[in-house]
Amino acid sequence: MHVYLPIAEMSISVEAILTLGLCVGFLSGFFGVGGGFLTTPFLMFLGVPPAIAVGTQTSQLVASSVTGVLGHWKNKNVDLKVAGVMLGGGVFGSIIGVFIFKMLQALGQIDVAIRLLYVFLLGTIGTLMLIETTASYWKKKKTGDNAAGEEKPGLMERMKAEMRKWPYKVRFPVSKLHISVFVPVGIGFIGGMLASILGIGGGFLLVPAMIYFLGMPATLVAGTCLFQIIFTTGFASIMHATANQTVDVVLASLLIIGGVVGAQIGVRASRYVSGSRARIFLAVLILGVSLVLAAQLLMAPKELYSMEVRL
Amino acid sequence: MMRLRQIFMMLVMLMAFMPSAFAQGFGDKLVLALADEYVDITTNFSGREVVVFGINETGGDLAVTLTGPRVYTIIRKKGQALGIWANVRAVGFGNVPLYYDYAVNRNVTSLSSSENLQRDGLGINAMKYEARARLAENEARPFHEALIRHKQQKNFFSYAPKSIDYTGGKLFKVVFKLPPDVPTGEYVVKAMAYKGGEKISEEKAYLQIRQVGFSAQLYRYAHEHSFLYGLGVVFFAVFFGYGAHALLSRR
Repeated sequence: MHVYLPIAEMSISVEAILTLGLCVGFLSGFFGVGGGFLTTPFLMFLGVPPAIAVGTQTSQLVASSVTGVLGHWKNKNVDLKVAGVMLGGGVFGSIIGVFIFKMLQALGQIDVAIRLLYVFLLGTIGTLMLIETTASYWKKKKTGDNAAGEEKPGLMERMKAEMRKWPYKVRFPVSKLHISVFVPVGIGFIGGMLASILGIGGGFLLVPAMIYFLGMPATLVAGTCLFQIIFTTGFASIMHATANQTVDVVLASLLIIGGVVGAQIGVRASRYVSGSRARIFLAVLILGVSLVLAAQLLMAPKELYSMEVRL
Repeated sequence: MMRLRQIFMMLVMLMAFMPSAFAQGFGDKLVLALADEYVDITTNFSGREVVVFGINETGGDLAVTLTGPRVYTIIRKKGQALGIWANVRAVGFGNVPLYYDYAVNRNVTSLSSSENLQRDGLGINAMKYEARARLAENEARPFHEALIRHKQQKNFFSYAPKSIDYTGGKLFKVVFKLPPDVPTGEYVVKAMAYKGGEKISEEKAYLQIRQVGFSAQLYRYAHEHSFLYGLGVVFFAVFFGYGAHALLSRR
């Protein structure tokens, strides 16, 4: 069955979009990540213009984040003050992101830029996750062995120490933090930029950053991050609708419906798999997507020419 | 229902034009009509046929074209930059129709000279667009070829001409098939008659392809009240997300 997308002005297979929503929903239920990093490339693969894929995806993330955050909200696992401060940076990041997106579009490099960013982000995160999960797996086996990670004090450690010296310290009572306001603002800013340029919530990047750089308690991170993502993606969505008219409500509805059902299946399936094993799967999946995208950038394409119609 | 309408159209045309044609004697008359002047795109639109009727009293060879709105179209070429494949060159073409299809009953090139065909916009190869860059002929050609290739792959340009159906002597019928993602706008249907390599008659009709109903309202709203539209989509998403949670946590 086909449905006509009024904003994209094209007809698309309902089954394909519902299946995509289902898969992404499954991932979010199973791993607790948004799964936006799969939606945008796949929509582009189905022939949806990148601008509409990104713009629409942001509104789908609003829905999935709302569904996700409500459980955390009930358990009081949302730190509103941290989320609010992050949001300040997030809104600013969204605006800059939409602007960069428009500029890249005009330059005709949006496809390459989106792919490069994905390869960089997914490649880095995937590799780090894989190293971390397999390392902890090995550690469990050989308890007497010294971990190799302790050899380097590392750039990350130094960055963390540096951030502790930043001015304008603020207390965050719920998370029991006393930290410079620029740290959460900076993390939020990056999240907002990712939301508008890539059409992703950026949870896979924000969650480790909040644990590592902010030092938030792990129980509060997921809820706070999701809460913050609702607003950055919502804001990015309104920005894309206003500045570029690239939010297709019919496409968004289909993605949301598929996502809701998929998330339920994902949550149920996750009960049968241990957390550490799930993290290895996720790392492999993220790396896989980044490798496919990297291959597209590195291998000579079959069709050297591409077409853009300016209406 | 379509069939009935087609027969009705033919009868109407026969009655309307044949007596006058007989009265005047066989002139160089070309008559053109569309079964529908509008193609309405609704949410369940999945392509449509455009039926063109006409009478060719010229005795010449007939050609019918269907041309969509003309827009600026950019062709980009990828090349290796710092090891990755990125767009390195772009050539813009003016006046490229969003959609193009045509019908003839004999080889296009045998109808007229290539200059004439180019002037009349008849045939895929006859179409020349102005490249908005100072390029040598042999430099522009691969971009021009890529443009046609892309259009054909999207089914926006035809691979082969349709045929013209002569149903009753001088009465003809052409059926164009619009794909599901056909671009919207004003389309021109042009019938041309050729004799001895020259165009002897031409007739035009216009076809509106447009979104109607819910789909059109959404499109208009998204463009005219884009902020409210964006806000609406976000509220809808929040509502849906909340509803999903409420529905699922009950179990």
